[in-house]
Amino acid sequence: MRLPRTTPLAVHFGDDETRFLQLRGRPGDWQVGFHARVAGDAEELAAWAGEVPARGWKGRDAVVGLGPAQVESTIVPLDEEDEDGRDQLLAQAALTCVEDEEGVRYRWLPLGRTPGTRRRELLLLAVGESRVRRAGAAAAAMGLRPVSLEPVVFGLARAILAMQETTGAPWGFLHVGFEQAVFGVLHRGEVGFLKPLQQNGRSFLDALSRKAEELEEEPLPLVLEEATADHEQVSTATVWSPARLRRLSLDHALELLEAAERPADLLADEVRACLRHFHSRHKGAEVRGIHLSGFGATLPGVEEAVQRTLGRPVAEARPFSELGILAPPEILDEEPLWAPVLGLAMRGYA
Amino acid sequence: MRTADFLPPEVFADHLDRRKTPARLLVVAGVAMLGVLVSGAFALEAARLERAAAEAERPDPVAEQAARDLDRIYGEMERYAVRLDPLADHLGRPTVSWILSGIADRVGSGVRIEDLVWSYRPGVPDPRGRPQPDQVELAVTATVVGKGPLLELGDHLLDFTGFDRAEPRRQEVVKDFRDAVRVEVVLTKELGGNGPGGDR
Repeated sequence: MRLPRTTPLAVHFGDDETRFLQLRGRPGDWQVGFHARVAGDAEELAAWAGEVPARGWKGRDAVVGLGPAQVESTIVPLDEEDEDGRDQLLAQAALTCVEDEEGVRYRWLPLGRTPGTRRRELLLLAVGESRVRRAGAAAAAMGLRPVSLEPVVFGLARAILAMQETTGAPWGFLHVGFEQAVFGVLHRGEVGFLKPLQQNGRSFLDALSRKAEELEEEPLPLVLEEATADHEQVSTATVWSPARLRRLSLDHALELLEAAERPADLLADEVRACLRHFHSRHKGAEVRGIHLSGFGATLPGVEEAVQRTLGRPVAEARPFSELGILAPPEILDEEPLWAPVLGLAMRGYA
Repeated sequence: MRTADFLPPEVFADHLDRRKTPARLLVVAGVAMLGVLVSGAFALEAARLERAAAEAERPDPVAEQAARDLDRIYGEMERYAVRLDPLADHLGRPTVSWILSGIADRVGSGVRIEDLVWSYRPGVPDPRGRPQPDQVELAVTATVVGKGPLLELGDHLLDFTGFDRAEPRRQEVVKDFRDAVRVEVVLTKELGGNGPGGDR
């Protein structure tokens, strides 16, 4: 398939897959021009990329997104008297967050002031230079020209902002990636809060898989390889695939919902803490609801369990449907997984 | 919405600039197309005018026949030109009949015209050899009663005739006619001048 000429190609380097998406048309009249999903590691991506020159990608602009597990984010409080040494303070904080022999690259955004103090909070995002280099090299191997390198949660925030543009009220977004979950709040058109969480998609998948084993005595269909810390030994973990779990949920919805409650409780505790932090900084700004995206959003029972434990509206992020973007069924079936990639592709148009 | 882009901001700014390129090319193409259309319109108009000019220059049988007839008429007129030229010359000279018929009423009260004598003087070159115009003279002899009419007679004659100059030549008392004087005034006009008499 040939790519549209003017719109950039969004590339999301995820935890164990890479997604490509390109829009065709114009804002308000978008349709998906190209999409692809390559599962597996860098080797499989390279093999897939070997076919890319035949697709005529050479020199095309690419907006690249890095998964939550690849970008460290933290909130840095900054007293007024420390403003002069801000850059030094942020550089030290970035070096503390990320260990990379090639160096650390960081960006920061202002979040707001702490009430009753002369202190303000900055959102610090840091990434290792080696990751930046690898992402650039992977894009270059496919003939692409990277024009931006964002944390993919900003793509998700952009897509949700496009959905909520008319309301103006704060909305939360909970991205439950396989390796890393992140909670953020969109406030007044900006990311007003962002924090990585301890729980992740793997914890939900483990709990659901254990329950599935009790329910059926079939062979386990998905084997995950997990590299150990020294990058030499490889251990394996066996879990059920999300698709198989969804099929199982047709007959055992209640059992799976109960299984998801434990990790959902842990996740909800973290989200509640985040909301308390946000509300203490923004008096009167009540988060209307939470959009769920990422790997965890596709698991059965997770949406309901999180909603029940948090006690506020939680819904899968479905920006394609909400914004009326024409998309093929395979994207509409997994909208929470494609939402961040859509936001990447929309950069510069919103 | 603000974002955290780990690449320098210039990279994305360049991308936005490239994104505008097709729109710019579209504008340039539109302007070029407009230029082509305007040029085409001018070319069509020029071709139309050229055809009209060629059409106008093409020999017209009717006009050619008319031109031949006109030449023939001119040729026939040439034969009478010798006789017509002196006549035209004569008709170009000033006429005096209107003077004769009206002068008695225009010289004022107390004046009675007795005699009018015309004479014609061909122009003689001056000592430097410059040609002088021909002159016509009108000698008016009249009996004038009273001093006022006598003084105004010259002006009245000039006003009426449009001649250039009026010069009294002779005066004498009329016998047995108290306060009456016979006077001769010579009016002179250069032929070819623009006086009112010469054009009538």
